[in-house]
Parts: sequence; C-alpha cells; structure tokens
Amino acid sequence: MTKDLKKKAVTAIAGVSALTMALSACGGSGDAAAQQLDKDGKPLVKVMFQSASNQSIATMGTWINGLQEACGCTIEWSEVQDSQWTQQKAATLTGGNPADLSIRAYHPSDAQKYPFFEDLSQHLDQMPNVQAFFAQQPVAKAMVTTPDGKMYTLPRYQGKISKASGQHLFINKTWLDKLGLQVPQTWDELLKVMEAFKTQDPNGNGKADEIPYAMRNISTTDVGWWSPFLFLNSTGISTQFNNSPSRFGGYVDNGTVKNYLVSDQFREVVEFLHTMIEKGYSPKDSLTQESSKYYASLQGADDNKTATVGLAITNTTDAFGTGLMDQYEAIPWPSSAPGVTAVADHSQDEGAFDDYAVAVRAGAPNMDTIIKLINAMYGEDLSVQQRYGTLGDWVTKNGDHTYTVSDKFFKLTANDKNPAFADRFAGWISDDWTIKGDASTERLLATDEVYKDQIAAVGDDYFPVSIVPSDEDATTLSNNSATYLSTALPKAADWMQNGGLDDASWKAYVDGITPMGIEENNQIWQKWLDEAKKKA
Amino acid sequence: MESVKEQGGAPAVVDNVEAARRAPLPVRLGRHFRKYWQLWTFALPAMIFVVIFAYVPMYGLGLAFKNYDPRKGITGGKFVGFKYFQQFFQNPQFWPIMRNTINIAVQTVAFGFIFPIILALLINQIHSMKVKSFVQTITYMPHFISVVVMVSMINIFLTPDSGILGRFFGEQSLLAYPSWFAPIYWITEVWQHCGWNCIIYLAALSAVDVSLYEAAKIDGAGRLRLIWSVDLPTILPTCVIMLILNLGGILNVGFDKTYLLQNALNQPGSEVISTYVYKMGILNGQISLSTAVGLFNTLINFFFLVAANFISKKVSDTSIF
Repeated sequence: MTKDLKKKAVTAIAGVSALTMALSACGGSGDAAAQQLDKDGKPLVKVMFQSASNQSIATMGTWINGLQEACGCTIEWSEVQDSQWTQQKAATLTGGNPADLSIRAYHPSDAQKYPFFEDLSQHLDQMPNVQAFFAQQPVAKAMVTTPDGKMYTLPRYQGKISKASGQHLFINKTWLDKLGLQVPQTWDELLKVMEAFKTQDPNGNGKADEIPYAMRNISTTDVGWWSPFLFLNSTGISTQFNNSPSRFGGYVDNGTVKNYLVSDQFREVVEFLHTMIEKGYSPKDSLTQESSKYYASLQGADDNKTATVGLAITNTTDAFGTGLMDQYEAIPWPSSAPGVTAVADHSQDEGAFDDYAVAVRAGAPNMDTIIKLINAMYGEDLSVQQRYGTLGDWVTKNGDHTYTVSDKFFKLTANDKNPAFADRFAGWISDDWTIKGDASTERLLATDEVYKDQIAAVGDDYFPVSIVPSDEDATTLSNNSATYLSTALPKAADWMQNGGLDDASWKAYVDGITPMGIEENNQIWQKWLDEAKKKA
Repeated sequence: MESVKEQGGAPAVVDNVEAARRAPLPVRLGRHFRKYWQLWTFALPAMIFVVIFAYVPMYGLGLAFKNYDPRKGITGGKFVGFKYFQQFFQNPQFWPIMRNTINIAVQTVAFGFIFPIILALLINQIHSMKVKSFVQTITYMPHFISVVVMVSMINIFLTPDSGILGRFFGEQSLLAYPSWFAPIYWITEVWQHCGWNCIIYLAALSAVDVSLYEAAKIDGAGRLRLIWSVDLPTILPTCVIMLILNLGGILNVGFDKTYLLQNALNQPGSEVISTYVYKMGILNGQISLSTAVGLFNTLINFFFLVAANFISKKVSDTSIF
C-alpha cells in the first residue's frame, strides 16, 4: 500500500508541476506553426475585432463572407467590446498573445513598446490597395510610420466627407429668435444671452427649467471630447480634442509647442466657466454629474418635445434628439474679448484618420494569406461594405465609384445591430469615390463648415496626425502628463466650482505644476512635431 | 526522563512516547503522515490552490526591481534596483496619495470594525426569533449589491435637489468635496457590509453560557451590564482575530468603488494607491512602476498585520500566529 501511495504521490507532484509549467509557458510561447489549417485544409486566420455595443460579427450580413472569399481562407472571429478593451489590451500585450490579425486594437505606440507585431512595410509590395491609399494620402502613411521606419499598424481613412472635428458649439436658435437676440460674438454678449435664457422662459412652459449652458463634466485623466475647456478657442488657442497632445495641454503658438494649462488664456477660460456656474447658467453639479445625466439633459423635457438647454458643446444636432434637433444651430466660437481672434477645434484629420485599423502578430501562421486578406480589405468593394454594410442591401453601387447609402442605415435605433464595422472599419474611402446619402456624416461636415474661417485662422499652428513619438519619449510624456494633470484638473475644477482664482493662487498653481514635467513635455512634443513636419 | 537514563543503562520501562519523539526525522514524518494522511488529503486541494495562485505568481514581484522588457518576459529585463520605488517616492503625488489612502483606510477599518459588533449585540437582544431573522435579513441584504450598482445608488442619493440625501446638502453634490470623500466611502461601506460582518459575532454570542445571564441577573445586573460583563468578554477573542485580519488589508482601499466615485473635484481627496496603480499600470502601461507601488502597499499591510498580531499576543493572549 505504501508503494502504491508513493506512486500516486509522484504522479500527483508530476501533475502539479506540469500544470505549473503549462501556466508559465502560456506567457511566452510565440512560435506557432507556419501553417494553420481548418478541417478542410484551407488556411485558418484568427481575427479579432474590437466592437461597439451594437456590433456583432454574427449580424454583420453577407459581406463578412466576402472577406473569406477574398483571401481563400477560413476566418475564426473573436470580438471584444470596446468597454472591456482597455483592460484586455494590457493583458494580451503583457501575455504576448495578440490575435493573428487585430482590427482597431493596437496603436503604433503599443507596437513600439511590445515587440509582437509584424512590420507591414516589408509587405507593402504585396498590398497594391494599401499602396494606392498611401499614394493619395501621404499623411496616413506618416501617422503609422514609427521613428525607426517600421510600420506595425495600418491606418484607416473615412474619406473627405469625414474630415470634420467632433467639437462644435450649439445654441438654441429658436430661443434666440423668440427673444429677439443676435448670435453672440463675444463672451460678454454670450453671458447676456445666458441671462435672457435663464430669466425669460424661452421654452415658454412657464417653468424655470431652462439650463442656459449644459456644461459637461471634466475627466480626471485628460481633457476630452466636449470638454468645457473648448472655450480656449475663444481666446485664440486652437484645441484638438478629438485626439492629439492637445488633450494633455499641448498647443502650438507660432510653431512653438506650449502648454495651455499654464497660460493666461486658460485662466480666462476657467474664470469664464466659473461665471457660468456662479450665475446659475450651468447646473451647480455640472462637474460631478454623470455623463448619462448630461446626455439626457440635451434631449430636453416632455419626451424630447420641450427644449431645456440653450447652449451645449457636442458633435452634431443628433445629440438633441429628432424632436429638438431643428431648434439648434452651430455657431462660431465667440471671442473672449472684442479684438481677440477666436479660432476653432482643429481635429479634422483626427476625425477622418485613425492609426490603429489593423495590426498583425509577428510570426503568425499563413502570413501570405493574412497579407492577401488585408489587401482585400483595403480594396474598394470591401472598404465600402465594411463601412456601411452589404452591397445591394445597405449600400447601392451606382457604378463609376459612386455609392448610395440606404436610408435604413440611419433609421437604426440604439438597440438595433449595426450591419457594418462603421467607423471601426479597416480600410479607406478614396477621395475619388463618392458616397451619397451618409446623412449623419454629411451633417457633421456641414456643421464643421460653420467654423471654416476660424479653422483657417489656425494656420499651421496645430499638431498633425503624423506625430509618432519614440517609445521612450511616449513613456516620459505619459508619466509627466499624468502627474501634472492630476494636479491641474482638480484645481481648475475647484476654481470653476468655487471661484477664488486670484493672482496669488494662480501664480502658486503655475509655479506648482510647471516643474512637474510641463517643460520636458513641451520639448518632446516640439521634437516630434518637427519630425512630423519633415515626414509629410 | 533524563534522570532515569542517567541512573544506569537502559531504563526499566520503555517510554514509547519519548522513543517516538527521538526517532529520526524521516521516520517521524512517515509516522505522522500515516496517521493523519486523511486530514492532509482534505487540506491538499486548498494548498495546491494557494501555491499556484498565491505563491507562483509572486515571481512577478521581481518586476518591481527590473526594467520590464516584453521581449524578455516577466523574468527578464535589466535589474534597476529601487529605481521605481524612488520614482514613486519622489513623485509630487506621493504624499497626497499616501495621505488619502491612510485617511480612507483607517476610518473604514475602524468604523467597519466597531459597527458590526454593536449591531450583533443589538440583534442579540431581540428575543422573538421572527423579528430577529427579519432584522438580520434586512441588514445583510445590501451586501449582495454589486459595487457598480452601489456607486450609482450613492450618486443618485446625493444628487442635489432630487436625491433622498442630496436635497439636504445644498446645491452641490457631496461628492464634489475632497474632505467628504472618506466619510462617504466608509459610511456606505458600513451600511453595505455591517449586517454581513456581524454574522460571525452573532455566532460567537450564541456560545454564551445562559447560566451566566441568570447568575448576573440575580446579582442585579441590568441589560447594559449584561452586555458589558457577559456578552463582550465572550466575543472579545473573535473581535481581536477579526481586527488583526482587517489590519492585514488596512491599505487595501477598494479600487472599484474609489475609482467609480472619483471625479475631477474630489480627486484631491480620492486618489489612492490602488487607483494610481491602475492609472499607471493598466492605462499608461508602466508595469514595473505599478508593481513597485503595489509591492510597497503590500509591505505596509504586512507590517500592520504582524504588528497587530504581536501587540494582541502580548496584551490579550489572542493571536493568529
């Protein structure tokens, strides 16, 4: 019996150690067979798609099979929802096991830090469609080319109709007209309008339920979409809040990178926003309310029939709901003071280009098939179908590179499944192709037109999308900005809410956060801004 | 025993216990396992679990001292000593983060320890079984609410004008004040977990010898006196053990709740070690730095655990090791 027991113990220990080894092994194994076949002997490619909550591969429609036909392979899909992706991305990278092909998952910065990705520049000659894309849009090539000349990801381009910022200022034109007011040109005029909105019951329901300015809360880690700090544009500092160093304080002043968090203009904006809250134009709990409450407020009262908001920052009138969208109109940024040239958010390229459409795992099996698949995705038919859905069903091909998007695409409700990758697609829409009927994109573009003069006033003082810092510099940048933003944003929020911003406290604030890496970040951004200008 | 041997050669009677104790180690181990192998088998799955999930991953702690290089994996990378610890200590955020962490943690541990005891003593005073189980069910229900839902509830409760609590606190949500963050944190924590945590004390209270109550009552003790002189001494060892265990996690301010309750206005009072580790490690991808910060946190917890255990051993003779 003792012998028996011993044997069992040995087996158990062996089992446990084998398990442990298996566990530690799954961290590092990168060698896969060069071939990976499905049960019919066709090449098998594992593709990961980072999806929105209303997207699923299963409900994409028939165009998705076109991908398999194009590469002559079988695709094994996996999906990760965007809400979980931040956490999962870190796990796939530290574990070293991204999918063979990942759509909208890894940025060039990730690929520089984690060496698991194929340098796609060496396969460019196998991808004529991507070559054509880069020939027409050199900035797209520049935005994915890392400082060492590698290309770990491919960009996506939504076409010229998407070259628009998502940051626009809307005013309730119906209210203005009803009260006989003009569109405000300066902050002083704007404040007078706010006062009128607050006191003169512009929605006419007899209740004092008007929110003259619906202010969005501010984040604790960066300055993001629809932030109230977009009023910096009123002071002449152009923001790029879609995505750029602008989200961490950077801006370009006559070719020199500076940080607006320590600028006098920022102080003016904070004081202005404090006035908004202090006078009751914005709800007192603006900065603590959840975003969902803010979005709901834009839709007004009485089931989207009565407007309650006078002024708001969002992308298009869609945010106000179909019942009220006609009441709102985008207006140019009012100047902070007479004589100041106001500018506008310069995120047009950021709106159209993304730097993380596709990434391929280095050493993935069936590399040639993968490259073939990518080339097909960047072809005309599949690009359009990825963007809008199956041809003939959701998009009509009119010939001569012209397409009409079906009405029903825009009648999808929040609960309907999207028939396409939509803005998450991995492909491009050439400037030579015409897309008709894309109502919401056209609406965004038309909104951006309002800011045409203010955008022109920015000149060359913006961050091009082709800024790609080295890995080391990217780490320094994020370390520094995490440090100074964690001091600056709460302080700004405190001033906006409670006031108390005077010369002494402003000086203490500037002296406090300047040593936290503001100078260093400015220098690093400057360096890569100069590099980017050389590239494109 | 010694004396028997010394008196002359072999002892008259063979002392089996002593002989067994003097046998060489392998023999003793063999005997031990032959005798108790059933018990060891019971414990084995748990031990394997702990080894795999608590001890094996510890090799990752080496990351705190290395410049993490994904090419070389967790065990590779250049050794940089205490660089990342230094980076954290010299960070301007270090003292605010420590202050917030300690502030929130100490209040939560202190009140989270006292209130379940009080609740248990109160429930113990209820004589009707029906009322008692009703009260118990009601008080431990909130324990099963998930953190995300709890945070939404706190937000709704504190909404100015319309919230059931917010309406009494002026035009601004209490979540806007850094100084209110710790109280909001521990009050909701106590509310949520008080009922659940008092179960163990109720179990301890059921062990009170009923004759003690009778004796005390004959001596003229009232209700409060009974609680003070009979109930409390009975559950005191349980309380001490629970306190030591709680102190082992003193700096573990719940990440999810803190992170979800955080906003730009209360951040000066709500940025704690765990949220900082998340922002640096997961969001900014600085694995080594956040490992170092996490290790630092664990060491402080470990120190508190050992210290509390030591003190309690000296003072009350109760300890977990």
